[in-house]
Amino acid sequence: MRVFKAILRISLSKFLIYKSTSILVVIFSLLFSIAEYLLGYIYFNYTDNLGGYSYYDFILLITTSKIIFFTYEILFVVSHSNLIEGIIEGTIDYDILRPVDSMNFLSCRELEFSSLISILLPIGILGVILSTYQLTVLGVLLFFFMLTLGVLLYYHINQFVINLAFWIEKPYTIFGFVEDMFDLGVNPKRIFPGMIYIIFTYIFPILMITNLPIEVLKGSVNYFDILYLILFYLALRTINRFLWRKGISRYSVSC
Amino acid sequence: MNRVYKVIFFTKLKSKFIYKIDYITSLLSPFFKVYIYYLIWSRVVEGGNTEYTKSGILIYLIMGGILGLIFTSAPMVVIAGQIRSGKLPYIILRPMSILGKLFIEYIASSVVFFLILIGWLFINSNISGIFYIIMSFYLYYLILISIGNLAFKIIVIWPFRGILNALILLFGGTVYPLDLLPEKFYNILQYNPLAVVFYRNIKVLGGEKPTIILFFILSCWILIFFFISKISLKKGLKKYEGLGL
Repeated sequence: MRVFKAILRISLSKFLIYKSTSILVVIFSLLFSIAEYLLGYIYFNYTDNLGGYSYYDFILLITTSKIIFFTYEILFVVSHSNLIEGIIEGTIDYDILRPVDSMNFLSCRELEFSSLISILLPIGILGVILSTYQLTVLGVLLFFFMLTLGVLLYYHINQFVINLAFWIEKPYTIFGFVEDMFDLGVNPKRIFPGMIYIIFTYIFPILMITNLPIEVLKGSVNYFDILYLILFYLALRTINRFLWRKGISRYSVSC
Repeated sequence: MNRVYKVIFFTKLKSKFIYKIDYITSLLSPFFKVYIYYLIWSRVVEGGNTEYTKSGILIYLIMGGILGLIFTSAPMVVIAGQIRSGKLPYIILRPMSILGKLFIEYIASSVVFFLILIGWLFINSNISGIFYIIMSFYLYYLILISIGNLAFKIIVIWPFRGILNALILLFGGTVYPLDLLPEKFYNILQYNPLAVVFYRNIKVLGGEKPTIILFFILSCWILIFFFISKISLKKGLKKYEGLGL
């Protein structure tokens, strides 16, 4: 807890020091969010169904994927980009000696406060849009559980790519590619044809991560999908722990 | 062409093809995105509620994707980086114009796809379209330089790339045809500089001939951004200490 408080204090100071950068980051995040909502609005001006989703379902899909994305940004994005640099440059040796869990510490050592402002827009929209659904206590609890699971999976998928930096010299292209693939999450999974649907639902489950919370609220969720996602998370978590341990054991510093 | 600029042009062109895998990868991602947008748009237009057909929207998105490969934000990133790193004085000392060098490099990095599009317009006998795409390329370059010059005032310039991309997404019409917006919004947005560069070019590549009014508006934007880029560079250089960060 003391470590987290220190991280919080330092991150806030950084945010306040680089005010102009922080404001610009908030502006561009907001503009991207607005662009996505606008696209949704345009689509549904000309159709009333996209991959089995109504207009409100689609807005909810954008909203949940934004909340998952911004939560990841707040908690992990700065640390992850520093960590990938640190592994390649060989500058994390001091941090792995600290008396804390090194993987957790190094992937959450700086918070990104700009996204804390950017997330307010989707949270506000979520508040409004949830009122259009017939909610049950179990449904709402499961919805927020799926959001949490989504953030954890988002984190572990990125962590998996970062762990590869122990073996691959420059994994930036893969890291960039994974980032691009996350953009798929704002789409209804049913619009994707055969193979692409299978890849992005079960192998790289970004479509499942963002679509399941909506299916939970619609009451059309397949509980085997939830179970699959939980097992996928547990497996990936175990793999990441294993890769981290192996990676640290082969980590070296040139000077 | 001045010999110096010739050397710059061919050096940049050569460097573009040295990293072949990197170049091919950079082409894959935009076209995958085009495919994803097509999957959605094909569902939207199949109801027949718009003037666009499936093939029409596919051509629109592909043209938008190709334009995205030509109209990159490179000059903005380069000039902002040179200002911030303190490397600008080295370029000023050389016997050439800073903006000229950047423009030649920009042409060299986009020349392959640019020639393909010009060839396409030529085959379709759209000669005014060729003039339009060349002029709008110059306008976009001036917009980028005007934004890049903000590095004289602001320490970190990278968020501007994100802001510009978001504005292109919103007002440029690269992933949705602007004329699908409600009429009121369309009337307001149709001649904004990003729409003049992207949306209008996509339409031109789709077979439309640019009108005199469109050329007039394009020329006005060129004049406006020409002065903004010149004045911002001049003013910035006056106070520039060239130490870098």
